[in-house]
Amino acid sequence: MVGRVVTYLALAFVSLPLLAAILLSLTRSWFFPTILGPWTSQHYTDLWSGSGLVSSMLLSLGIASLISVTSTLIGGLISVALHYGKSSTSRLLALGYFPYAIAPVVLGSMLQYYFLRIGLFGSMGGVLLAQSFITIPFAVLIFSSFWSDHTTRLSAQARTLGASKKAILYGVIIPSARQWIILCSVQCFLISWLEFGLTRVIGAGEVRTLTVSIMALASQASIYEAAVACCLMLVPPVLLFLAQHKWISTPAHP
Amino acid sequence: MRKLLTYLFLCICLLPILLGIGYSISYSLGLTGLLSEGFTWAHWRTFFTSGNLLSSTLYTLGLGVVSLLIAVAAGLVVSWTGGRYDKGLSQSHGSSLSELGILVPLLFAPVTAAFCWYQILSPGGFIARLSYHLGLITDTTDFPRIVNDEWGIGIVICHVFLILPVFTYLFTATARKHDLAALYQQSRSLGSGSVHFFRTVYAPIVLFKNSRVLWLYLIFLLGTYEVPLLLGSSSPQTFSVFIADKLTKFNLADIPAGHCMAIWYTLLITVMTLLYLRWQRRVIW
Repeated sequence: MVGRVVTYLALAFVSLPLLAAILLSLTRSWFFPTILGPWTSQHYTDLWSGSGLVSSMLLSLGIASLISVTSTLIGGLISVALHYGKSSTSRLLALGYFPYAIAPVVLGSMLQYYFLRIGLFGSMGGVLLAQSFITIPFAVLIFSSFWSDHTTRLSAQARTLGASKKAILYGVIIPSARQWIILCSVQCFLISWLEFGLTRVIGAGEVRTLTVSIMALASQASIYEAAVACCLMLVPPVLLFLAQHKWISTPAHP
Repeated sequence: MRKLLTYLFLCICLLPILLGIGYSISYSLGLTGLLSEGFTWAHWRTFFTSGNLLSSTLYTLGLGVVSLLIAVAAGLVVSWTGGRYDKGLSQSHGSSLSELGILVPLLFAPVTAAFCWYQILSPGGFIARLSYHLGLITDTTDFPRIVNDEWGIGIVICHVFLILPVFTYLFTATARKHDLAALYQQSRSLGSGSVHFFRTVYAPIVLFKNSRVLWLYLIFLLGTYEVPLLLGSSSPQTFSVFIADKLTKFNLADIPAGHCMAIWYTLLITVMTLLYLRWQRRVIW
């Protein structure tokens, strides 16, 4: 009985913000002390009449997709290089934690001078580069859990049977790393999709992703639009979560 | 090619941090910047005497530790009760609706969570309106300040919301991995009570096995930005809000203080990350 009450309380606690976002996005004239204002779907229909949220969402999707693809690709290649390299992999991998541990907004604030000097401040290129500083080391850390004795033995076996380096990469390593590639691309997509601080500082308000739009709308007290933006924010993670839950088994985490 | 990729990794990991910290050091020592008049310790002297260092450090650490402790305690209780040890069901309900439901916050960006909690906890928010209809308050001014308050209550609630699912999931997985349900049945047959088992076996094992993750989460909590920005007060400020506020606004006189704080924060995080890595190394190797 107590267990059930605790579980329901926890579920109620985690559901509250979701409920608030949905309710606020479907109401208008929400003045104190009304708990729920009149229902309307106006804020959703307004999305298509130049509210800017759709373009923000498309921009966020574009940036997150690009970050996901490039970080997975570069992170994967670096991981291969580190594994077959002569240096101590564990020591090098330890460095990957640092960009991830420092708050993105602090990193962005300290680096804005350099971005200004190279002409990438307030541009999409700058945001992409800045986000890569976090997602590429993260991708390398994810791929580090792929390398095991089994992988090494499999590659060695293929080499003994006469496979070229290219054939080992495309015929052995990449197919065995399929789960890690999917997990890495999904995680990098989510990091970029949910990112705010770095994008706000390096993008200087010019790169208006969905998270930047939410903060701007919240600051302007445009609560209905902000609530709609919050609901839009939830769509890709929900779809990815469902896809991952249904089709993808999660490999061991680094 | 291998060497090139290794150097690329080194560059990506180290170069931004070194460049950033290098610029911050030179700015804080008066060697660069629009108001620079040559080498000086004046900015550091002002920084140490202004009280910002102490207030931001205590405030950020306090919020981080309190959020972590509450989330850990809640995660332990939810994973314990969700496991339904008394019915021996901990192995069987792999992905029930309640277990998936608890993961809902993982879908939220911190900025989204902060906005939603503001709408729930603010004096004009859902809880205040409900309190009005229940006759507990007669006006918004009667409602206690939970957001933008000096104690950071709203920040802690939002942090707990964001990290509770991770801890619940981790603790549940740890309990399953170490088959604590079987251990519980054994202890029951030996005459131990649920609370005794939870206090002396379940919580210590689960916490010990996840101690490194908890440390890592404390590091992340020290750097959260969106949540204290929306739900925090203007003074004291957390590290990230203080730094971003000073470095991205237009008051040139404030910039050195922002750089001093950025150096202090980076040093603190570096030491904490090194401790984590040392800890991990000792456990793994």
